[in-house]
Amino acid sequence: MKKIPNWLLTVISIIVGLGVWYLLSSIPSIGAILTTPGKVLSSFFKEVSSGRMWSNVSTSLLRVLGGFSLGLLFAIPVAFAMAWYSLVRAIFDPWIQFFRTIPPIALIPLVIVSQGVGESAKISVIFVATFLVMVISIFQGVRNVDPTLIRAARVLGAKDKDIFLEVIVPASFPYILVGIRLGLAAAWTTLVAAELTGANKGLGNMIMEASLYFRMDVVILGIVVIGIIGLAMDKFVLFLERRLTGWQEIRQS
Amino acid sequence: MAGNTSKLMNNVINPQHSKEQIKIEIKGLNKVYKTRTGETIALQNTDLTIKNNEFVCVVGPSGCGKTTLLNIIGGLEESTSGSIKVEGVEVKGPGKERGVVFQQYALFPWKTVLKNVEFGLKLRGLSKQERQAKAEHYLDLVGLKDFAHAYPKELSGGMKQRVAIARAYAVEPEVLLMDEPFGALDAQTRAQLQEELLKTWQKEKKTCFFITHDVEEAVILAQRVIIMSARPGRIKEIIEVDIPYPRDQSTKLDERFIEIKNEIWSKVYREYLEVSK
Repeated sequence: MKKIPNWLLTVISIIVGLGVWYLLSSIPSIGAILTTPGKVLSSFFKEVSSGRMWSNVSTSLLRVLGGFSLGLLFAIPVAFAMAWYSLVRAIFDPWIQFFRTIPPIALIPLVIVSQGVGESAKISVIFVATFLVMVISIFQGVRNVDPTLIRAARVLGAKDKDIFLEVIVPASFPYILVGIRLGLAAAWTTLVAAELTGANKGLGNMIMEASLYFRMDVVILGIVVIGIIGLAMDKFVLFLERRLTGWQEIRQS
Repeated sequence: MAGNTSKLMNNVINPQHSKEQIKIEIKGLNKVYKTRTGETIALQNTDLTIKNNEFVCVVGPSGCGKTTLLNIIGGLEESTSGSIKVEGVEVKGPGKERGVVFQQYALFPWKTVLKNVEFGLKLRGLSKQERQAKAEHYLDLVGLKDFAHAYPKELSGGMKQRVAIARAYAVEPEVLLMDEPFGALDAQTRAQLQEELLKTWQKEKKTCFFITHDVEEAVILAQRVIIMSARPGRIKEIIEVDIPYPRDQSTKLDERFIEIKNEIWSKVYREYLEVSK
C-alpha cells in the first residue's frame, strides 16, 4: 500500500471538516445557529467591502501585539535575572507563582474599573497574561541549560559575561521561542475575552455585537477569523524556530 | 627487552624529580561534601605528583573521587583542604594552561564544528584569520577538516569527541584533563580514538590526566596508572607501565601489556568488590 503524503491528509481533513459543517448546517434545527459556510463567506465579503473587517482585525492585532511585546520585553530580563541570581528568584517567584494560577480574565473587571474600557485596559490585561506565561517558560529554559556546557566554556577561558552571551542566551533561545508561542496564544485568548466584556471595536466585540442581533453568520465569521490569525501566528513562530534553532538535536518525524 | 625498557625509563619517564619537571603537585588534598545525611569524604589525604608531559590514567570504582580530583585540578571545584599547584602556582579556578575534555562531549550545539574549536581562541582575543587557521590545524589533526561547517548534531559520538579534543588542544594548554572521554563510545571507535590520542600526544606533547573505568584503556595510554579506592576516595596504588611508545592496538597482545593489565585489573576488581559489599 502506498503511503498517502501528510499534506494531502491535511487537505482532505479540511475538506471533510467543511463538508461536515455544510451538512450539519443544512439540517434546519441546527442551521438556525450554525449557518452554512456559504453564508459565512458572503458575510465575510460584506464585512471586508464595508471596511469593518479590516478595522476590527487591525484593532485586535494591535492590542495583541502591543500587550505581547510589552510582556516579552519584561519577561526576558526578569526570567534571565531569576535564573542567574537566587536573590531575584526569591523576590519574584512567589508573585509569579501566585498570579499564574489566576486566569487573566478574572483581572478584567479590576482593570476596567481602574483604566476604563480604552486601549490601555486591554493592553494591560494582555501584558499580564503574556508576561506570566513567557517568564515561566523562559526561566525554565535558562535553568535547563546543560551545566557541562557552562563548565566547558569556563575551562576555555569564558568569564561570566561570555558565559551569559555565548552559552546561556543561545542555549535558552529555543525556550524563548516556545515562550513566544505560548505567549501569543495567551494574548489571543485573553484579548477576545477582554473585548467581549467591553470594547467598541475588535474581533471579540464584533462577535458580541453580532450575537445581540442574532447574526450567527458574523459570529461564526469572527470565530473563524480569530482561529486563522492564531494559526498563522503560530506557524510563523514555528517557521522562525526551524530557521533559527535548526541546530537542535530533535527527532524528525 | 629489559635493557630496552630501562633505556626508555630514562628517556621518557625520567626518574629524577627535578623541580622544573614537576607539572602538577597535589599535597594533602581533602574534599568533603556536605549532604543531608551527613558528610561524604570524596577525597582523603591525596598526594600526587605529575611530571611534565607525562600521561597518567586514573582507574577506580565509581564514587572513588576520580572526577572530583579532575574537577579540582581543573579549577571547577574547590578543595576542602590541601594544596594543588600547577607549575608551582596554586590553583584558584580554571586556567588557560589546563584544558578539559568531558565525557558528554559538551560541544555547543548552536555552533559549527569550526566555531566550537575557535571558541577558546576567540575568548583569548585572536583575530578571525588567526583563530580560523589554528582551528583548522587542530581539526586536521583529528581528521575532521571536512566537517568544519557541520553542526554537532550531524556528527557521530566519536566525531563529536574528536571535535572536543581539537577544541581543548586549540587553546594549547599544557595540561589536558580528560574525564572518561571515550566512555560513551563503541569498542572500535574507542580503540581508534586511543591510537589517535597517543599520536597527537606524541606530536604535541602535553601532560595528560585521563580518567577511565577501562583498565585496558588505562594501560595502553598511560605511563603510570593510578588506582583509587572508594569510601573514602584515596589513591591506593600507582603502577608504572614500562611499555615503550609508540603503542597501538597490537600492543594489547604484548605479554608485558597483558601482565600489567591483569595486575591492575585484579587490584581494581578488589576495590569494586569492596564498594559493592
